[in-house]
Amino acid sequence: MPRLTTVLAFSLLTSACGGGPNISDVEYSVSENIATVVNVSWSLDESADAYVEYGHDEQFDLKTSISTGESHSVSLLGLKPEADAQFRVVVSNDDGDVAGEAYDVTTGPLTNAFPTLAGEGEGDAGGWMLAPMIGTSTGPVIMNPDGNIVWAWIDESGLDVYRARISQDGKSVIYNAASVSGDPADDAKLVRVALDGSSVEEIPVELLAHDFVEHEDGTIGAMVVEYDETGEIRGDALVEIAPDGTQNVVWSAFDCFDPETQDPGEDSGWTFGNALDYSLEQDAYYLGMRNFSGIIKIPRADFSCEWVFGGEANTFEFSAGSATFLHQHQFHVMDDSIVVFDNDGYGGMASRVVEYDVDFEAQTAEESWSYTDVTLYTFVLGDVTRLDDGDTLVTWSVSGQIDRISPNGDVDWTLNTGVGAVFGFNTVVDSLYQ
Amino acid sequence: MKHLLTLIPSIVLLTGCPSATEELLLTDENNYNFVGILEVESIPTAEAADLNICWDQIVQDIQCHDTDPVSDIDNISLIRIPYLSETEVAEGLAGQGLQQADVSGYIEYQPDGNTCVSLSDMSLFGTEIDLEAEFNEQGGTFLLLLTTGIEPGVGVRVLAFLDPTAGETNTQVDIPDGCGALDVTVDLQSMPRLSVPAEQPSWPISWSDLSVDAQGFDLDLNRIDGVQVGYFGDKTPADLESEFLDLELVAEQLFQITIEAGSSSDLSEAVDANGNQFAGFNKDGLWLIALRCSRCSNPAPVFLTFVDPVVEP
Repeated sequence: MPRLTTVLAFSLLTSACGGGPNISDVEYSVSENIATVVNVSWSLDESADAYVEYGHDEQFDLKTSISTGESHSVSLLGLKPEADAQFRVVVSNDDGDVAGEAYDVTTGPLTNAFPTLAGEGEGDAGGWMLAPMIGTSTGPVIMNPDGNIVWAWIDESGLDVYRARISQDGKSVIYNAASVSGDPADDAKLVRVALDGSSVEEIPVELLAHDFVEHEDGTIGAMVVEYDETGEIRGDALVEIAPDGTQNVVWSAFDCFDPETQDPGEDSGWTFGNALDYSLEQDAYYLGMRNFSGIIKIPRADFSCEWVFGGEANTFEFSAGSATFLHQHQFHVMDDSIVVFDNDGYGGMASRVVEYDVDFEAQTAEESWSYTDVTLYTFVLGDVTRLDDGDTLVTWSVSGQIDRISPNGDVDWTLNTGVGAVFGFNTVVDSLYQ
Repeated sequence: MKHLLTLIPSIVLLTGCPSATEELLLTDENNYNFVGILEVESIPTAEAADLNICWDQIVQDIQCHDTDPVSDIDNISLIRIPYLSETEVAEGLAGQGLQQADVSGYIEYQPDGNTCVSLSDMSLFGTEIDLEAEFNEQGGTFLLLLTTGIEPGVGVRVLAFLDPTAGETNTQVDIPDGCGALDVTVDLQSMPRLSVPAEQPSWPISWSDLSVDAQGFDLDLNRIDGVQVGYFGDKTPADLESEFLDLELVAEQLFQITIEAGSSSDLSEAVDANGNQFAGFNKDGLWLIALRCSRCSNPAPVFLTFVDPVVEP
């Protein structure tokens, strides 16, 4: 296992300005494996909450999550490659947050397996982005709101990587390595990479498919392919993987739908699930099914199919004139609306995003907004996130483009890859420490 | 004079005091000039038809290197670029003019010994081409790539355009030989050479100051994944201009480093095909240093310069 670089600095006992617990034994090192990650540890002379604030140009505009105790360690995420940075430990006490001595550190280069990226336009993406890059090299990357890659990992398995998330414990990036082209891969797995790249854990998941989520307790909910008893009909199931590794199938498409009466007749299989989200508030999964052109709500309380939004098994009434979506991929379910990445509903060689105002009780829906760039056709994948300010971040996956779209349809910010590199699903977060 | 040059290093060795290590800093000024023009064969075909595509007639690739249609072709891919003409695509491939967003469709096939494939047997992530709806005159430009290796767009050996045309009935596509498709003009004589110590304990090298490639396009330093040091004996820069596509074949010695990150390295880490380590610019003759981007669509070095070994007194 690769080891961390030599410790770069020790500090003598220092007292945070303003009194309170004393900070000592500050040690830091740039990770040898992912050279934008800086590992920092320190001690306090009494148990207290503490965190690190850090950044470039002495801005200290990034901060880690808070840890409690006398001994602390954290990995600083989000720094740019080959750049000078500064950090300082901050201790919380009765008088508020008190910052200690500032340290300088220089990050190293990231792998050259992925292109250098930078967004263009006004503002930024509206959040940090975790998105697998697929192409000449494949693996999860983290991009800062400006679109610069600040963390990268190469997956050498030769499998497809569609989703990456920071783990709930804040210690690793989890991604799926699977195959959805033809038959599922025998060696499909979830991969957990330590934030500093110092360890890799593989969790084999039979017939793993496009997408997964992680719950607060560390349980992972993942899409898997499921065949009927004849092996001829390809449906979908959800498996939950407990922190102890136990795997249980909790939901099956065959329990909700009947392939004899509900079959859109696609060559690629029966339901062909392709996207998964989870609502903590609802404690429910939302599963997108490509061939059904629908999104199912699956409450964890009973793993039923509470409703299906759109397509073959639709349970909603759509207002006259509302667009229908076809072969959609990712989506964003909100309190009273859904925005969908619609791969084929526009027709021809263009994809779009469509938003619907939705009354989930009455199960009625009406198209309220859409955006189409007729030059972009995302024939597979694609993701959409509604940002807090009302803008929409659209990931045109196989077009290698991410756009921030205003409500009036202006592209305020855009990010492009060169030819040969595309994006998987895009997990957008306000902070890398949530 | 030759005797004097060889004598001086001996004296240095005797004194046991090698000169201090100097970093070799590559600059835009030292770079060669490259112009590449791709003339890609365009093959008219029937619209909305399931073509039979064969490449068994290929003898040489676009660099005019011998090519075995069975053992050298690992992947066949068809890329649809809806809003660019064939000319614009060819220019983009030769330069840096293509974005992934220009591409609206990609299907592939790994032949595993076959030399023909039906268009309907090509797919991506299980998605096949809808021939009726997508393969027609209005569909844009269709570029067929035959590659060694299976990384998309990398290792291109032969390429051709498929041109679905209304009224055309041809459903048999025989990919023509690649030799002649690439017209290269290089200037290896105008750039100033890089003076380097003939011998020193190591050869740290940096290309962090480079801003453009040999074609004058903005250079993404993060795309550089290889450094080469070549020795060409008595050949002249003019000789290499005429043998540019065969540089790696005509080199008497070729040392290489794989770069995984960053914009610096050390030539002392370079090894040849037999595992011999680069030991210095210790022979009279023509030496060059090149930077490679194996994932770029253009296989030409992004940087190349000749070095003048200097024996320090």
